[in-house]
Amino acid sequence: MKVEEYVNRFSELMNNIFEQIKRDVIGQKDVIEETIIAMIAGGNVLLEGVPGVGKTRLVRSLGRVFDLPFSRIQFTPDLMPADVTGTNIIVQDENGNSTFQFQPGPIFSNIILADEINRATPKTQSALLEAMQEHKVTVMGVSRQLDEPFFVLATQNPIEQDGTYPLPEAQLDRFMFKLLVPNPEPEELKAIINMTQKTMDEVAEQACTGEQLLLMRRVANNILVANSVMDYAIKLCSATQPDGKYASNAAKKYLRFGVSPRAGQALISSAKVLALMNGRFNVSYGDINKLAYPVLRHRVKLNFEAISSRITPDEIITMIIDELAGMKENKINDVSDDEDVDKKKKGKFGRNR
Amino acid sequence: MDIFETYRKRLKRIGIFKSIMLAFSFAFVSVGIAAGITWIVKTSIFVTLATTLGVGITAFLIAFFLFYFKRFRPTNEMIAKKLDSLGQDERYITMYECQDDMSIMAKLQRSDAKKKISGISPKNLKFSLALPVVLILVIGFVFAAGATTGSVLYGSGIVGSSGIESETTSPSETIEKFVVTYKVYEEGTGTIEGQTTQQVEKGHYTQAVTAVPAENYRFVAWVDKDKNYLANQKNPRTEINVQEDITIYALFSEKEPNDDDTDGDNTSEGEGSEKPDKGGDGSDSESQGGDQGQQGGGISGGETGVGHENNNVIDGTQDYKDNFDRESLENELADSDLPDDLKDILGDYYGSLKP
Repeated sequence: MKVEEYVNRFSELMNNIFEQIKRDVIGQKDVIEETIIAMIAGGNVLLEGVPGVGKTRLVRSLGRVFDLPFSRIQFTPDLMPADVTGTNIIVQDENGNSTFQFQPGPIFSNIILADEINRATPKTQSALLEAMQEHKVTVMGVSRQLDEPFFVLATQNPIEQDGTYPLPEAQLDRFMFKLLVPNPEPEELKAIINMTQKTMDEVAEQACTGEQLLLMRRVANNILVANSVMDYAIKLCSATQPDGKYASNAAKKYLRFGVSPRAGQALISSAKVLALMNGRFNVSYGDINKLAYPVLRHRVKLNFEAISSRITPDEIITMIIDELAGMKENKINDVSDDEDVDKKKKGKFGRNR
Repeated sequence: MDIFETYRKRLKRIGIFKSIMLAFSFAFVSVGIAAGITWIVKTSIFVTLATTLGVGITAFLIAFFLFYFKRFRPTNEMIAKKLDSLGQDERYITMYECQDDMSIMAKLQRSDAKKKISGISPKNLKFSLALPVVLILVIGFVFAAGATTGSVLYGSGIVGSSGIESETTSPSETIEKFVVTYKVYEEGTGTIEGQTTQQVEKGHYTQAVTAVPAENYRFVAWVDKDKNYLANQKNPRTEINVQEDITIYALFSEKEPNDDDTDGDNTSEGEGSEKPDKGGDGSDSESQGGDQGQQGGGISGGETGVGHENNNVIDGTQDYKDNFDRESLENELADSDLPDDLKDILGDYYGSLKP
């Protein structure tokens, strides 16, 4: 099938995916949408939410909808790296000779659910690093490529911090999105209860194959990004660097460290998918702004003032976006004052003010 | 780009209008400055009008072309950004930037943008003028109108440089002059020494003149046409703070027999003769004669050491003649706003305070 046809079918595929996931997961529309965006863009997702909000169910449903092999790893303090990556075991061949044979771990799958990832030790958490970034696993000096598409969908619980190991920055950076899974609304909760009274089984059916997913990724990669939009994404990332040249006031006040270049890559990659999902062939400022939250929130390091003032990363991102939107002289975009008059109606860079 | 043409026309009109508004602001300010300068250098009305008009037109033309061609002339990029600002999600700036891209995605993007543009009316590109521009326009207009009006009024002589109205047409003509004439009331009774007709600038002093009685006459007073005594009765006489044309008469009267003792030095003690009937104390005539014609000689004749009874106010022995300054009192009286008849009464009283 040609790329052009896939472009035209993209919306149809997306609708099918949503429809199937909705059969298993009630509500959580934004979380589902952003998870799918990350999957199409080739990123990993960290889902954070209190127990029982449907994180694990969502990931399992995704595995069913995409008809991809799915592995679940329950992270515990005694989980070892080999339990994740696999290890070499001694086996006897037909001649009776003992040889090492690699026994793949659960990571050799397409969709990995790393449940409660922050309960494992940093050593075990690190076992995921190579797989998440390079999609390969090295055991005893031998690297093995993982099958594509490959995603790690990790969950963590923001409460019950005793006996947990917060993810290090390096690992957090490898998650394209960090999604906050909220508690369901009363109506949603009612629907969840009604549904689970009948059956706990997941009923979602395949809506898309792995090949189609990869093709969608290729199509999305070709979405056009105007220079001004690209520059805005760069400026948004740069504005989080408190010591940088383009540091925003919010960053200077509340952040210790800003985001890495991976954030910029993730922002553009995911914005392309979002544009395509919305039936556009170009990225807009609105796409960047919407995805700034899941892309940036886990990559910024708050300083003491922010923590003591209970300022959340999302609030800081909002401040930065507002600051950029309110800047009269945008050196990157060089937008004239005349155009500012019109932008005020909609908000500069597409942000409604 | 062809699809931008209808919007280009609209934006061109908006751009021209904005440029005109800004050029007017610039021109108004320039006119105001030019008018201020012409006011300061005191040019004529013609030069003022020609200068301000020339500066205004030049500033307008320069500003208009600068604003339009450097800022408001619609380019494809500007049109694309304008269209995107109408909620088009950066379709048109992307299309503009990727117009040379022949990939399938770029073609799809252009196709999508062209499809969407059909829903955008050129009228959606609203004209808006920033508040600072409006303020500059209004302030500039007021400034220009005020400065030009002031300069023209000044140039036409209606308003002086200080803004106070005057009837003259040039600074040199604003100095007013008045004529002060001294005459003898009855010909043959005396003469006036000094310049009898003097032209004096407003508020200035005349040169002193002296009333000299003819033989057998004595000087009585300075009077007006109706023989009313004037406040200041000094002889020699000087008019101070001249504010109008004045004619002053020197009044003489024939000497009476008991006036003989006073004629010794009448030219210098006119005031002493103001009330000749009261000055008839022959015993004091020497003291008046010794006055040597100094001002108020009539009361300072006590240089001889002999007092006058009028000065012995309290106990009849103490002479108080040195304790009041008659001249300053008379000057104060002359400068005061009192009615003339009251001035005359007070003048008479001052005149009575003499030997």
